[in-house]
Amino acid sequence: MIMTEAHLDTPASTGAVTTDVVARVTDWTTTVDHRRIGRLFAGSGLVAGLGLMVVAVLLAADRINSSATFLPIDATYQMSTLYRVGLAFLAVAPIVLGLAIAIVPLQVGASNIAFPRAATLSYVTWLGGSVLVVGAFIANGGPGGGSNWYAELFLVGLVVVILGLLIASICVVATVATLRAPGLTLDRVPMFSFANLIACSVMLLSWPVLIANLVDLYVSHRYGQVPFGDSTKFMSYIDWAFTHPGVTLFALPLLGFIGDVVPTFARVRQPMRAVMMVAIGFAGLNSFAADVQRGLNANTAYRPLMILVSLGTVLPFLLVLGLSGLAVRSGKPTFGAPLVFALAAGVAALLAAAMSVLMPFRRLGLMDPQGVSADGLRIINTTIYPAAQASTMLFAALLGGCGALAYWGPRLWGRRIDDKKMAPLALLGLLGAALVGIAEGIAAFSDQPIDEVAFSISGPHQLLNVLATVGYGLMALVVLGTIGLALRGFTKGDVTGIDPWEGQSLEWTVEGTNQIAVTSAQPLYDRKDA
Amino acid sequence: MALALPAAPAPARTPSQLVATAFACAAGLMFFGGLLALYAKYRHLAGGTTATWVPKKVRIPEIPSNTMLITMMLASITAQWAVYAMRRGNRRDTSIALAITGLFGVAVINAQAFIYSQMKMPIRNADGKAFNVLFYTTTGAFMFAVIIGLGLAAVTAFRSLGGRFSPTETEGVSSVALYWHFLTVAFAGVWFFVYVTK
Repeated sequence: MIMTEAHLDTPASTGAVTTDVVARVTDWTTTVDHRRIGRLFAGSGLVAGLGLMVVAVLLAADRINSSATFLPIDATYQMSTLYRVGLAFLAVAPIVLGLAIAIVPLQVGASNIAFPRAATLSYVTWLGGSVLVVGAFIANGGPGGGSNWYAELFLVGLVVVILGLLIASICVVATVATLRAPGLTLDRVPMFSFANLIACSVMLLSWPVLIANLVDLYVSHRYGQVPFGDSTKFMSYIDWAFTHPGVTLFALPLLGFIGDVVPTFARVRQPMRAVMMVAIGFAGLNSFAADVQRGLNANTAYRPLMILVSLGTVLPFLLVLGLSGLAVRSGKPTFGAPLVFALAAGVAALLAAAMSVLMPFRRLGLMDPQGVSADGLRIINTTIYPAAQASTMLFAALLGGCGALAYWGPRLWGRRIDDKKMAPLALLGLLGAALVGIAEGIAAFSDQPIDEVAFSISGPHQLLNVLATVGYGLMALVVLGTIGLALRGFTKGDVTGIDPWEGQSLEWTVEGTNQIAVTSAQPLYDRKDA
Repeated sequence: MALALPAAPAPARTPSQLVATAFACAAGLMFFGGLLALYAKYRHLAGGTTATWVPKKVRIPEIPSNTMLITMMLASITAQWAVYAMRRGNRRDTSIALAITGLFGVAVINAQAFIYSQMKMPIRNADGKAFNVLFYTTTGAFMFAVIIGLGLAAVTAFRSLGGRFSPTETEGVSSVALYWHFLTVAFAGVWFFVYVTK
């Protein structure tokens, strides 16, 4: 009898566990709850970000002694391109869009995101594409890959990744444009939603051009490699999407995050809100980069217009930080990790924007070709400067994403991250971003090449690369710390009310928008005032 | 005597689908813009004339390409006819209009296939010219977009017959019509760059 029971129980219980796991996976991957989809996107992006930071640390450490590298020399170019492509499209973009999918509907008073099934599809598409991209690199594909087939698989994977992100963008744009609560006119939309409206609109205009390039590259590579050449040339046709000025697009929602967090913690209405909206709109306009393709015109980086574009990149960050300073000055600011993250990310983004100002000056030669790689297989497009600037901007966006998770986490999980443990991560992140940007930026002046670990240059590049390695290490620590604190905080942290920060916009209420008259950009603040 | 107030008007439907389609079409136009920009760039690099750009043995048939443009314009008109019919509650005409739109789409694919068969041009160009790859990529991408349009028209026609739309709910039909207008505009670009300018 006992044996019979054991015989019956064992497979039944195993089957139940399996069914339970399958049911949970199915439940999550077919969910139509925007908060879950957003959490999936952001969580996956953070995990990808951590992996890519490890790659970046290895590469930076390998550059310290450029004459005796410890990584296999034939893999370092691929690792470097994986880091650059991945940080943008596999880490920062999903975090940014995931937070938008989770938060924007709540901010505009919608019951769900527009087209929730499409939002789920966007996640599954992005995830599938990401697996293809990473798989292609692992199998010796990607830019500069030894396997033609896997080099092409990288192109296909990246198209799928971008399609997934574009579908998510359409959902976000449609939500802000059409599902706003009564009274919530576009000028009253919370700053994060407004910034996402702008960012997603520009993504929808900019990234299809990248898909066009990828499709042409694929067909060309498959049939004779004319006119785009072999896989070592891939980056020159696609890197415009994640280097200056296109990289600013990834940090646009950060401006909205700052615009929401600072007045909330300062307990005031944002002064000159309209100016901040114009600044975000201008930053969006300025981040359209489809016309700046170095693969098609090597001189495009030195066009006089690029000086204006670079100055135009600085201006919005300066304005948003300045207006945030006004808010802090006129209010009674309280301490909170999200506020520290917002300010740290803003300063990191301003540094990246300031770095871009030097790029268009031909005399500095930062965007000049750097000859042939040490193994003789590739022409080096530029110095490391554009990669350093892009890394700094993407780190700023990543910091903003981590801060946004701490800020809106209680609204999504009902618990909060420990503020005192989280806040130092923001400062570490700022230090990391600054070290990477400044150290690699200075190394570029002695012609340290992009995407290479073996090079022969003069100057204190060893010290600079040690500093850059520390910077990448700090960023890895920030991502790891955020994942750890989020896992702990959102499962075992303090249970919070619906509004732990005394927020000003609609996401901090569950009463339904028909209970709250929206007559300004801060409906909850109005109610407290009344 | 019991008095009852008339029912409140139904809340206005938000045009989410139409807005999303508009953004998707804008993205599609940027995609074709990107393809055509690459086509124009490499044509310019090859000397900027048809003689230096198109391989010598290749003859591009012009009549089928002109027919394709006219057919796409007609498809745009019939797609708008579907919207017009649905606004008047005429489900049968809506489905007929969408079916004709689909037929025009099939005709366009047929014409493109005819052009390919007449040109007999390999994708891999032995002369090392970029024309072959860019021609097939640009026109092939457009065919792919038309196939998506066929699917949308078919689904919308069946949904129309199934009673999913009404004179006050025409958004689904309008979205499909907008997509076909986008296809017409995109093909006008392809036609000008690839078939007229060559």
